[in-house]
Amino acid sequence: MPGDILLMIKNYTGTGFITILFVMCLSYLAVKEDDRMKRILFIYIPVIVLAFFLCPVSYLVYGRISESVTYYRLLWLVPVTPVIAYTAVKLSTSLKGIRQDICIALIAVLIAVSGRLMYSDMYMIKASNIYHMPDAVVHICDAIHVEGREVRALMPYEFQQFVRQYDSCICIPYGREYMMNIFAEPDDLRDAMIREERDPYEVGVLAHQRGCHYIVVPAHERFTIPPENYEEFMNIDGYIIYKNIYLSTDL
Amino acid sequence: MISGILITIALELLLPLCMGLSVTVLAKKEDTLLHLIADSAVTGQVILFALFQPVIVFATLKGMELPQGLKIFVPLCILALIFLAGACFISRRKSKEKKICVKKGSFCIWGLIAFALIAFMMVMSFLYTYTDGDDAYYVAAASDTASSESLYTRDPYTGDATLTPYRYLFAPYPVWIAMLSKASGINTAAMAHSFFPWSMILFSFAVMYLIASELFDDSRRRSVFMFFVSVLVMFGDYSIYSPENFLLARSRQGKAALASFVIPFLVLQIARCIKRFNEKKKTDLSGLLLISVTGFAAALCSTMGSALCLALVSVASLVMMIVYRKVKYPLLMMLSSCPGLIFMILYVIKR
Repeated sequence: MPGDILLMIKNYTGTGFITILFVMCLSYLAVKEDDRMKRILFIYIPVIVLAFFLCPVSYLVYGRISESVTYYRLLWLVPVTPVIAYTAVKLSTSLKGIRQDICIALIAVLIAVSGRLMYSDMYMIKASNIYHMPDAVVHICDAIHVEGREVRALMPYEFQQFVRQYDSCICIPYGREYMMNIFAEPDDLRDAMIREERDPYEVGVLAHQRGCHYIVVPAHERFTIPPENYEEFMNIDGYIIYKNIYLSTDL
Repeated sequence: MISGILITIALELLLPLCMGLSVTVLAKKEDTLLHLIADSAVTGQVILFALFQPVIVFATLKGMELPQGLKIFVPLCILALIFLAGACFISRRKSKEKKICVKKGSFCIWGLIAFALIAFMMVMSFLYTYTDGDDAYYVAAASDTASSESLYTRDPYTGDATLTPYRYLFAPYPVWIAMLSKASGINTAAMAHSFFPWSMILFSFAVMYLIASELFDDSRRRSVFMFFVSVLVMFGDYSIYSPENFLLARSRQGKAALASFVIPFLVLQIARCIKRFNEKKKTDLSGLLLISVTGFAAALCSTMGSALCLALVSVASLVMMIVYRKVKYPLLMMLSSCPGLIFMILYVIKR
């Protein structure tokens, strides 16, 4: 259990440089700060919260009430950003004139080097539309949407998380939890879809049984013959849409 | 679309501003116009969150739909607005000072750079996207609520009918997004990803500015503080769990609002309570009420939100008891953060 807490600290502190900066600021304030309010906010509260966080009993109690995986949220109570910013202001404004501005610039560079630019994150990409999801999702959802009723579509892995954000009238037979393998029970249709060599008969029969009006697959994963009960309906943005020939999408 | 954007701005900015203005004017603190606007907007937003939370939880447990929930929420907001404006009017009539004192503020170059960085982050929240799997639940839940008008009756992942999801319904933040989407007519995904994050970024920095105002009296040091905060946020991708990462990457999720807006707002309220206690050595009722309200707002964002608020206030109270050797006021502070805990208790019982 102490290992879990330490792992959480390791994950929370990430590269660790900002944490080092924070500890340095905390130590500086512990020596230099006289104001009672600031001492309470920036020294006593963070230290007590950290001690509380490190205590295995707190971890156990938290786990009983909520989920242990979110235990790191206790660290949100430590005002890391205000403590560093306040100390930086205190340090830099103790100087006068141009020296002050140089000091501010240098501390800003130190912070930038210690942290990591949000926009350099590999998951932060330029949005292709106002819905912040691949254009293909928008085009396919628009193509199969029927005004006034719901339709069910078997979507490729990469669309699982987007489809119902964009259009909740499109239902899917299994969602993101099945792909992540959490909170999920066995699912034969999912198993048939992730099989290395998909069987068009098996997928078609299972999708039909689950009430799927459509099956969508990337063009490079096109079925050799259309899945049982389905026919090729449309080709959009590199994805093939198969339509169920028995299930009506009429109102 | 244009009218939708205008309605969004009105709901995300003007409504909180109107709601919070009375509270800020009641506080009678002399400061700059920027301070007055920031204080009003963030206080108003927290009050709106706190009113929304019990209404939607009640509506969900009673099996109501979104419009029925809003039929309770909207009159409640109007009543709160009238009550606060009335209290403000009476207080100002009794007061010798008839005018609101607004000091002239000034910006140094660091303040302008901070302002530019904040504007940059707001624009980037529109232009850039951060793919996060949790949106498959939160944004889909908002989308489903907006289109079907039902509250937590369907599984957001698949659209299938589901049993009441107690794990999520006591923190109905997606319903807030659904309400904004429905009122503005903007698609829920577009609202959550493009038209909502800017307001959360703005509110988070507004809270930081108010914290700066409690720490420093002069505008130069406040400006430098805001510059450092904006650099720290922008370079806050050192971990995927940091509040800074949540703010810029997942601003449409309740967790982000909790980490980067509601908890810092609570830190601000604690700072103000300590400051007033330092100066007057007596109970500050409005401060205690705001701590209470913050607990409800935190519960909207996350099921554990109110418990985190109670933990923070309890630690602050404990420290105050030791530092000031007084029990009454810190104890009142701690008790004032308890009401929001009702939702977490309900969750523990019902799950």
